[in-house]
Amino acid sequence: MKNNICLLVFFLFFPALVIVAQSEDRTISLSINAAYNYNENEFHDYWNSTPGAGFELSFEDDVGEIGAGLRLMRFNKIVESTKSFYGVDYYFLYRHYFSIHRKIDFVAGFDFGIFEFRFDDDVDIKTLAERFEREFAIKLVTGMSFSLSESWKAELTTAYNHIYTRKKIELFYLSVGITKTFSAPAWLKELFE
Amino acid sequence: MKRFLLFSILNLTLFLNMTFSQSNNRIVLKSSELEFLIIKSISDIYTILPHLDLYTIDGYRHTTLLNSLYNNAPSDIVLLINGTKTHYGVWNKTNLSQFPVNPSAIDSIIIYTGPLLYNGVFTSGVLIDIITKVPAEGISFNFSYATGNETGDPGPYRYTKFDSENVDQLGPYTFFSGQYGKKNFGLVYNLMHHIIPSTDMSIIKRSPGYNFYNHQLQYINSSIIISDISELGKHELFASYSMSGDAVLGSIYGADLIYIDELSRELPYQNKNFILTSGNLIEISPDADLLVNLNLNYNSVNQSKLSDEFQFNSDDLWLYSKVGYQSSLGAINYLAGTSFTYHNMQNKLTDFNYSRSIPSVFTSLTAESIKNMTTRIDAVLRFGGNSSGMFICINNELIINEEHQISFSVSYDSLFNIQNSFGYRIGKGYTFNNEYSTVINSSHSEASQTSLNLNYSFYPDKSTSIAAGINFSRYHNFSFNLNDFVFSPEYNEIVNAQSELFEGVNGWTGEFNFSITNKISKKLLQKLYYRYISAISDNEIFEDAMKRFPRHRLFYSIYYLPFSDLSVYMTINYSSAKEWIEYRNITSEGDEYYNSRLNNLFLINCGATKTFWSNRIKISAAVENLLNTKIQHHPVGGSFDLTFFIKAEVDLQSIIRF
Repeated sequence: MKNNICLLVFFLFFPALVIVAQSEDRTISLSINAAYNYNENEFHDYWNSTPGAGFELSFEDDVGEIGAGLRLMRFNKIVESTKSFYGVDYYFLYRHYFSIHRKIDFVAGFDFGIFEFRFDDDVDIKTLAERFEREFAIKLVTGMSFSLSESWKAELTTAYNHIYTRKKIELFYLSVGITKTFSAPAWLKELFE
Repeated sequence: MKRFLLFSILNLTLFLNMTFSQSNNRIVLKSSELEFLIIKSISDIYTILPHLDLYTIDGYRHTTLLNSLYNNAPSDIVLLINGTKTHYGVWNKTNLSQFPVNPSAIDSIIIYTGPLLYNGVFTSGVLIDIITKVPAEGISFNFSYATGNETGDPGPYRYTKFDSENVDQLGPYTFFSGQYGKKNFGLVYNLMHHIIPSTDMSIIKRSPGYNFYNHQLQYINSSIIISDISELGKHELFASYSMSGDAVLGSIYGADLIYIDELSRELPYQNKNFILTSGNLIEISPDADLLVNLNLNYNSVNQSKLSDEFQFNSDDLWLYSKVGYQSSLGAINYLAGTSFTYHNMQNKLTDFNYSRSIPSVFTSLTAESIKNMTTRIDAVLRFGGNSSGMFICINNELIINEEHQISFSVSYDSLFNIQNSFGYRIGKGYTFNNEYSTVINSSHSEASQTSLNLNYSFYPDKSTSIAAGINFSRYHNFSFNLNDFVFSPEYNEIVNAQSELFEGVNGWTGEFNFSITNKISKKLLQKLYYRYISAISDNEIFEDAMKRFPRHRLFYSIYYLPFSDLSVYMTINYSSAKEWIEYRNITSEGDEYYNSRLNNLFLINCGATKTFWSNRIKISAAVENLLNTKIQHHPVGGSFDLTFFIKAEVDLQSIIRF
């Protein structure tokens, strides 16, 4: 219930978050990152995670940074009766940057998409339907962004990931990444008009 | 930049024009409001219509509560397209989700709650008239794809003690539309396709003879709309062919389903439907018009290949014509006319063949009776055995000044929608090859209804409207089947332990409603609606039967346009508890699916739409049941968890001009 309320508050404040205008210069950002799952709950009685990796592509728009991302992370079984899996997270993302220093921004945003469980290590999985499970998932993201040069940034973020399985899965991540920013070509600027 | 500004202004203008038009029993949803929502199929409009009392078993098919309540007073949804009646539906159930119009081609939707006469068309339930857009000049294309995922899969817990049933994705819903428009002429071609799984455990549990797994419903429709304005007047033609159940695309076969209220079970079927309607407004003179509407509807319902429980065929042919003359006589504007309905029902497996003809005459008179007061009188007489009856309504609207308006109406009717239920067919000699043909009590005694309405509207400023109304309805001589549905673990189905027919059921209902619409700013609109309804009667059966209507209903919606290319909305829906007397013994120990009492419903939906490329591309995302509470609309219906939807639409207007 507590998480639901947090989600509700987030959606209520979402419009307020996006009314801050952006600059008219459109940019594309490509980032790669490494993530570590640092919390412990009942899920971790069955699986432990290894560090994961991912990439994100985002575009600067009036409402903030919008884009998509993919992250891969392996979860190894602890209990013999269950199965290990790769967690593949496909998501749309939204980020907003608040400047707190000439070279430092505060980052807030969210992701939503599908979290796929790809079971991989058992011979008794016979059909494709048994190999995959997919579920809707959201992430709330916050952190800091450090400008390294005009087009390079480093980011340190933490995220709360809620996967809406029948027995909910809640994961917290710490993530470090590096981002390269490009100037958007004319056709892309037109697309975002 | 110039084009961007133009689109921004257009968007803003649409938003400012968005109104919540409601007077008495009339609601108008304009495309500017619909564009905020993630419309996957047209029935999604029900999520913003708290004024309607509907139930759904599976979230895809909806029926009015009144329709299944009294067996001598059918009152389901009557569907019109551009003002012409369509007789759309399977038997007495109208599935708006499958109505063959691309949601993006809709200009507005007019909704009335009956009893009422609307341009010569009578309904005692709900009337929905879908008005389509006029195509833009040149050739245009529209394509959309929407899909959803109900949460609650087991995920990796599938291989642990926390294993649970799988839930499926919803959709996809795919639409394509090609349009050609030039001055006074429009041609629209629509193609739509739905895939709908029915894997809710509440349905599976009581359907042992039908394997739902991996057999999603496939629905495909192809339709055209031609509109023309000539010196003679305005003409429209709508033709549609649809198939459900039998796969057209891909190889997966699945059945369509109809929920039979009298049996409390689904009937799997496959369907072919053809509709042809023509609406014509012919100008006879500058102040006189002739309305000519025609409709042909052929509906063939057959046993599903996936179920041999029922072996049946049911072919229905509807022919409908309406001719009306509208003009003025001094200070009186009038519409007078006649309609004729022919209905043929056949079962090719048993030689059942039954036909009926139902003529009617109608009139509507409008005049300014005293200063600032308009009086309107509607009347209809229908002939044809059990379908005969009359309706009369007198409505007065008084405009006190710019800020205050009052309306008062009184109506009487012994007329209901044309009988077409499962029970009605059985009564006419239609048989299935099993025992279900004999278990239905039906009554055709004449019922009547009297309604009194008083409404007050207040417009304190240009951005706010406040309305309040009271309504009293008297139900007279209704017939109610008091069934006793229980779940049989032995047969894994719901059985009717006892059925008793109560005739001569009388009672009153009282209703109070209140609504506020407020444009906080040019970019922010909010609406509030509250309704209280209660039975006023010493008839115990009437009071118990009416408990399926929630006493309190509260609805709040907010629409926000922070940027010209971004819109967001949120709706909050509360309904108090409901009870279904015929399901009073449905709950058994340890059963989490069937409930005789449906607890308070608290539902929050929200969504956002981002447009790109000067509104040519739209990406929408929505979350239904944000708080992930258990939502159930019927005692044996599915429960709906948090569901996520996404929709992508490409709208290329006037890409080729001549």
